[in-house]
Amino acid sequence: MEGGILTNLQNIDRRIIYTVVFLVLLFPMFKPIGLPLKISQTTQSAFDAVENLPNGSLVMLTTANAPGTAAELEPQTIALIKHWMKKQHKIIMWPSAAEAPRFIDGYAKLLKDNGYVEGRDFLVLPYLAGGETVFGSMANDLKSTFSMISPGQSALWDSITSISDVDLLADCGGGESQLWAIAHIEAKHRTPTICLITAVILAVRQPYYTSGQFKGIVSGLNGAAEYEVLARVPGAGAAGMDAQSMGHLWVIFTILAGNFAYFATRGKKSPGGGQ
Amino acid sequence: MSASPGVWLAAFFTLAIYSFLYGDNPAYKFSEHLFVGLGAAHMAVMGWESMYNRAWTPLATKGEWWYIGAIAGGIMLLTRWFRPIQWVSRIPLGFMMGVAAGLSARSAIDAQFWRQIQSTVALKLNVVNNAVYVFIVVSTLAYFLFAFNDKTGVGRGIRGVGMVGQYMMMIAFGASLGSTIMARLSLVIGRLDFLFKTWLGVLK
Repeated sequence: MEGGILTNLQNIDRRIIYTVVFLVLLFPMFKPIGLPLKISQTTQSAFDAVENLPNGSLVMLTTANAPGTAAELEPQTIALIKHWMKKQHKIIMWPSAAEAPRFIDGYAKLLKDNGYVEGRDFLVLPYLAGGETVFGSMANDLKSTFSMISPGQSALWDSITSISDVDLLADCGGGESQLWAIAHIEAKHRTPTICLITAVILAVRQPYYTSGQFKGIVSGLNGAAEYEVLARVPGAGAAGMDAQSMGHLWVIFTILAGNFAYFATRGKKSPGGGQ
Repeated sequence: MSASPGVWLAAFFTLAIYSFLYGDNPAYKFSEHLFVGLGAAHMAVMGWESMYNRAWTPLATKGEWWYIGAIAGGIMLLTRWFRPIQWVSRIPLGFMMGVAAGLSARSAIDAQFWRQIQSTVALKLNVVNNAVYVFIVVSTLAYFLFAFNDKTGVGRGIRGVGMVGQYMMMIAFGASLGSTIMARLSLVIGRLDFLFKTWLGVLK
């Protein structure tokens, strides 16, 4: 029956695999295991970039958060904003994607709930279509890019003359927006820039951290968890890490089992006469 | 358990989408089509608002007449739907592509090309990580050098280094795939959190 087990291992019904994934992820959500969390260098650098700013600095969040990326980007952004609030930074937020404004509404509510006053302590800029061209325009002339904001409408806006007044830029997204931020704003004004990204693009963003164009990178749910630990702002990132680690163990197990079964049965003829 | 109809709707659609894992079914199809439709509608509204704020308001309230060009360009794009005047849409499209290419080329040369080379060249090779970094960059670049004759010693050498670069790229692709799995698990965790905490209220 050994051959039978090995053959079956290569043909497990996907519904069984998904059910086990579901159970493996759910278990630690109900019974936290408390697996250790190692802080990565990129997250530490992002935290340091914020921590080393003087209290009351001007920071800017450009976000392309969307429903498909929110599970990773939302915990990161909330941890970052909570850290900013601790440092009493003035905050400008701008949605760089059409899906992002509703997420910014949530961040604005978080700020208001913590005593921030809209227009004085934080400001939400309106979404503008155009992608990279808007980043280019902001780098050239921030005020005229958002000329729809009239003088006197916001004390914070009136106190700014250009994007070079921003002490730290944080770009959040799972697409190209980080590259636009460094290509236009960081390159032109040397504005210290960090990025909050989905884990899948970490490999292609890492070279920009090595080159110093990003002062730090917060990547994926684990990046959110690391930032929460560093900034001491408990949130959804750390809460989800046990589940993610257990999910990884299951994925590793299935990969090893599938490969073991494949190599063990390679070249042997099946009872039906095939290979 | 949540009393909000919005939460119940979200829970229904979450389960309907995940039901695809069992097999294709009408609930999944309905949710998928609804999601695409809502996404398109949302984008249309946001695009309209952007045009209204950025072009129409300055034109109508401040008399900034040059925005007429932008609005006209937008309208010209819509001529794609009318075959006899379809060609008109190519004018603003060409303009947009030209602007995008110019903008990208100017910025990419500095941010994505020159500064990457600078930072790689400046790495101190007495640190193992840096030495590995530079080796991978060089071997990967070697893989894409096709101008050398494989029959010469130099050509064979470059091809050999390029083979190593090929494996390095495969390792990088593997790391990306691993990150993709991590990202997908995060999405599931996010939905499970919603279902069991926000909807059912059984998770604290």
